[in-house]
Amino acid sequence: MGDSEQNLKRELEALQAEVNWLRKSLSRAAPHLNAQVQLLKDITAQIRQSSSVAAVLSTVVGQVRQQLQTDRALVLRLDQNSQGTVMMESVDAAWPSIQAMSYPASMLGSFDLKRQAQAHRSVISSVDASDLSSEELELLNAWQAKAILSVPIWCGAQVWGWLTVHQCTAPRHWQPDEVDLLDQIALQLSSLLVQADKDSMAPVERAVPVQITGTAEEGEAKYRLLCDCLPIGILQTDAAGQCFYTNAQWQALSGLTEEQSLGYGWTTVVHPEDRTAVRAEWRDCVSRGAEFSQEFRCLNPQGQVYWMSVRAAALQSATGQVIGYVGTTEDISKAKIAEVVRKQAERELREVSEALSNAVEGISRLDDQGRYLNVNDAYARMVGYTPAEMVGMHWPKTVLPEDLPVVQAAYQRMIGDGKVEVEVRGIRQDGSVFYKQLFMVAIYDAQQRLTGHHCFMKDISDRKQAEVALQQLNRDLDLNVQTRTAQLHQTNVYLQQELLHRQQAEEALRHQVAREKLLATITQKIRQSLDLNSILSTAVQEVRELLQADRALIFQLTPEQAGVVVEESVLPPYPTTVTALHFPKETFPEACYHYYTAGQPRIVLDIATDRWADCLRDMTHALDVKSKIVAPIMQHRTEEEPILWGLLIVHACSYRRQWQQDEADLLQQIANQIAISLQQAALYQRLQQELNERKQAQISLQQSESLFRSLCESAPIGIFRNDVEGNCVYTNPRCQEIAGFTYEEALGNGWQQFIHPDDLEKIKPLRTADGADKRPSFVEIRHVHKDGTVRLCQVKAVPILSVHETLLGYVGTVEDITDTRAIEQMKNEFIAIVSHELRTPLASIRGSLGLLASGVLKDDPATGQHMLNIAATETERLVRLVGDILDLERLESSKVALDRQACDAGALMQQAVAVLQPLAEARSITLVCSPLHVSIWAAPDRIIQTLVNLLGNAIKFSPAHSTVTLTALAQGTRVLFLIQDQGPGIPANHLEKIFKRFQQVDASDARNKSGTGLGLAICRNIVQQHGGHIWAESVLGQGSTFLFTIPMALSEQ
Amino acid sequence: MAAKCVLLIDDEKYLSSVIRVCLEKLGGWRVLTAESGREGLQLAQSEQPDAVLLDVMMPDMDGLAVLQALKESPCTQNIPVIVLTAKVQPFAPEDDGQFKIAGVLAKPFDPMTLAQQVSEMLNWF
Repeated sequence: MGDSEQNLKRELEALQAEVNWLRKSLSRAAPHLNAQVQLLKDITAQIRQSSSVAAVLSTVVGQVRQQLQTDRALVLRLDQNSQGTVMMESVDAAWPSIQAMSYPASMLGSFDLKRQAQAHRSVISSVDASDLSSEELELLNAWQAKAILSVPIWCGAQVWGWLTVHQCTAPRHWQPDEVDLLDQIALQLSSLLVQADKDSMAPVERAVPVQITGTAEEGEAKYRLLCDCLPIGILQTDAAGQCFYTNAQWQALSGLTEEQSLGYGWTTVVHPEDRTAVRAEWRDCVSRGAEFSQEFRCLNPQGQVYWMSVRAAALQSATGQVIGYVGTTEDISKAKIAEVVRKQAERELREVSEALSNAVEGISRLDDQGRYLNVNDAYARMVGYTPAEMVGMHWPKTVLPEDLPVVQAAYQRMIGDGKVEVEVRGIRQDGSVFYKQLFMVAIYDAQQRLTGHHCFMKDISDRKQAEVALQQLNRDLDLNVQTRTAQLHQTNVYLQQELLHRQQAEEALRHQVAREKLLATITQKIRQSLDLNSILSTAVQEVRELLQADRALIFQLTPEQAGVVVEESVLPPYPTTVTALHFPKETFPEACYHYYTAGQPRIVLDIATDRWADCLRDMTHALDVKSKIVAPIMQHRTEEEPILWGLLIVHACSYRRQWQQDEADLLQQIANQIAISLQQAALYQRLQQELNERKQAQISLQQSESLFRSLCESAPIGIFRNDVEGNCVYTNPRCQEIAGFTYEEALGNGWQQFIHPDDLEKIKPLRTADGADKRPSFVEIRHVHKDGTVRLCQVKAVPILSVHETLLGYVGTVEDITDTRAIEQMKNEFIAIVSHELRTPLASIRGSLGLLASGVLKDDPATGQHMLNIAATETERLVRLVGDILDLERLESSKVALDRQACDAGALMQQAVAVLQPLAEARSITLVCSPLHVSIWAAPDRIIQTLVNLLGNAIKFSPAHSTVTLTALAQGTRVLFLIQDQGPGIPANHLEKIFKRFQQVDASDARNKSGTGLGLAICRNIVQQHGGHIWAESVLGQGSTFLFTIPMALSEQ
Repeated sequence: MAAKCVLLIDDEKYLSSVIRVCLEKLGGWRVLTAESGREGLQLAQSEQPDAVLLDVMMPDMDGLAVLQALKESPCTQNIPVIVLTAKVQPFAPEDDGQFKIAGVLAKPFDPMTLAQQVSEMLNWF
């Protein structure tokens, strides 16, 4: 089956499913409908049985509440004042009763108006969510109504009241059928009320005359009530077809009021398009007195189409005369739709069936006798018949006789397996043959007996033809393969020939390789040595053995074209040539030279007939030479003509050997190899020589290097060398000592870490390629040692330039100037002090004398005198100071050698005491001296000066009435002098300092005691010049002792 | 207007006497003298002189230390200071940017113009 057929089938199935669903829906709706009808019937029965309206209403509210399962059902009666009163109520026990409660007219007015548009019906799912007025809401809340369903009860054209249900538990969504039910019941109640109303009125007021029978009015009323209760619409007409009655159901169905339906009015329910036709039909039936039965389209006020069935039966009088019609109507919309669907399904089934009959595939059914029962068009077409012609035909008529057994066998298989597939040749009515594919399926009846089979047929002629074409192609291919095989065979033969040629060529090649290998061996042996003699002796030996000659020799040409045998190998008993035998120039004529210069070997088969060199012939004859080959040894020099170095010669001495050309070629090749070896040997010798020279140069370089290195290494100045990028490549030991690094630490940029960070900028040229400068640099930098010691250094660096003036690096010197700088500093400080010391008295003198000279003080003689005294005192101080400074300078410069002599220490002591005695007396100080008469080696004046200085100090710093003692002790080779006082003493931290210049304990002392601040410095100088020591010892508050030593004279030692 | 009061701090008592006579006779000022830095500082605080003449080179507390003490004490820091120096060693505390001094007098000075120089430095006219 094709895709389209399958699609069709699927759609058909879907359609049928839909029809089934519709049917089921219809049947499901029926019971529900029945329940409603039952309720209506019950109520109708109630109405019929009961005579009182109140009783009916009571029953109705109860049943409605039960049926709708609601909390409250009630009937609200509207009075003449439009006030509502709850007339009847049925309420669940859980909720309050509102029996007899009223609904205010004002609210009902709005209620009424609001509901007008919806035929006075009120459907409220949730009171709270509704748009009711606040008053109404309040009332309904009081009643606890959450949802309301309310329908009007009509009495004629007037609203009599409402049938209402309340849901009190929760809001409720009212279903359409619940609304319908309430409507229906309200309708029934309306009928009851109308009836009750009529009962209370005079019979003349009846709007509709009774025309059917003259039965009792009660019966009439009941009949009408029945009509109103029926679930089908009923209308009644007179004999002319004019309607005079419709029941409530009709009105509900048609949407027309009773008045609107009167006369021909009821036909307005018909769809406008069909209305004329329906009216015509109706008139026709009426005129004939026939029964009317029609289904027609209707249009409801919402514009929706629905279907209605109307059947009207004629009412006949006892005389058989038509007196009117009673019509029943039913809404048949649902049935109509179902029918439409059914028709659609049928149509599609028909289409599928048609499609099947038009299918490409042949389909047939056969009975158990092999006769066709029916075939489709395609089947018949394939075998060239009409379907009709084929019915009853036996199938073998459609099969090529030759293939019949195949089909029969297949048929048997089908009986066994239930189905079978086979490809056979068919025959058409016109006798033409075609290929067909058959698919046969057995058919069984309920008792599993074979009743026939289905046969599906497909024309596969096209495929079969394709198969035949394929077979032809295969045959062609076979032919091609055969042709190709033959070609391959020919090629093979050619290839084998080619292979043979190749093998021959290879053989020749192998022969050549063998000879070259031999040559290579000899060459290697020759070349193993770079020693000329060794090369030549190997060569002659190897050549003689290789060519199995009696003699082989090498003959070297001299520049004069004479020659000498330089090497020879000879087989005993043949005589050797004299080693280093010189051949005269005549043996080697010019022609001969030219011949050999071409580099070709020469074969001489018989020496006796050699046309060259007669004298050579005689000589060679003496050497028993019968025949020979001569190969030139050429020397190739770059950019020059090759020259003939010599000859490689083989001799045959035993017989006139017939030398072969390939032997000559071999000899020539060896000669060439010898030439190369000779050249290499020469080169090697030259190389050796150069190497020796170089070695010599290196040795002297090393010597020179070691000389300069030792110079550098032991230089008392720091030396370093940096490359252009600031990497240190060398430092000498002094440099390392100054800078505080090791040789390795300084390498690269390591040296920079030993430079004070603040000074790095100063030596930028030495540090970086960027800062590189071709100018020499002189800088002072600080080196910081690992132990934190800082050394001030002067660095002088000069650039090293290449011959092209390119900067290669720096070489520099480093000097430690820490001490030098410290001394300079001291000197500067000293000068500052001296300057101050000199200028201060000078200022006093200039000031005082200036004042005196100006005459400012002439009126103040006392001040004038004071100024004069100051000038005198300060002049004295200045004189002393200048004297001391000069004295110290003289002592320090050592320009004046001390005039030393042996002198008596005791005498010197006494002289010094004598000088100071007056001062001591003036200060009331006792001066005690214990002279030691020992001979010392000293300058007596200087010793006296020292003693006077020390005693003077002692006196100056001693309080009155104290004692100053001078003693001396002999200590080994020295005399120790001691000067003791009872003064205030000297703080321990000053004991050393006081010997320096201008370093009094208290500077004011110097002025007070008229000292210069240089006395002790002078004393120390004097003692040190004598090779002695001077120092002070003191106890604060008890006094001081100054001690110094002076060597004894030799005579004392 | 009361006479100006000048405090002279110098350990050289002779020179001190001479300067005092110069300033009293030729400047007409009242002169206080101190023989040490410490004494000078005490006097400067107690007497509040109009100016201080300060010798640079003194034992125990040199001129620079005295200057620093004067300038750091709130009650003396506004007193102008003139420094006396032997001129060989440069004295330029301004170089440090630390202390402001009114001027420098070099020794030996001309006694007749000393008062004149001082008043010029202090803008006393």
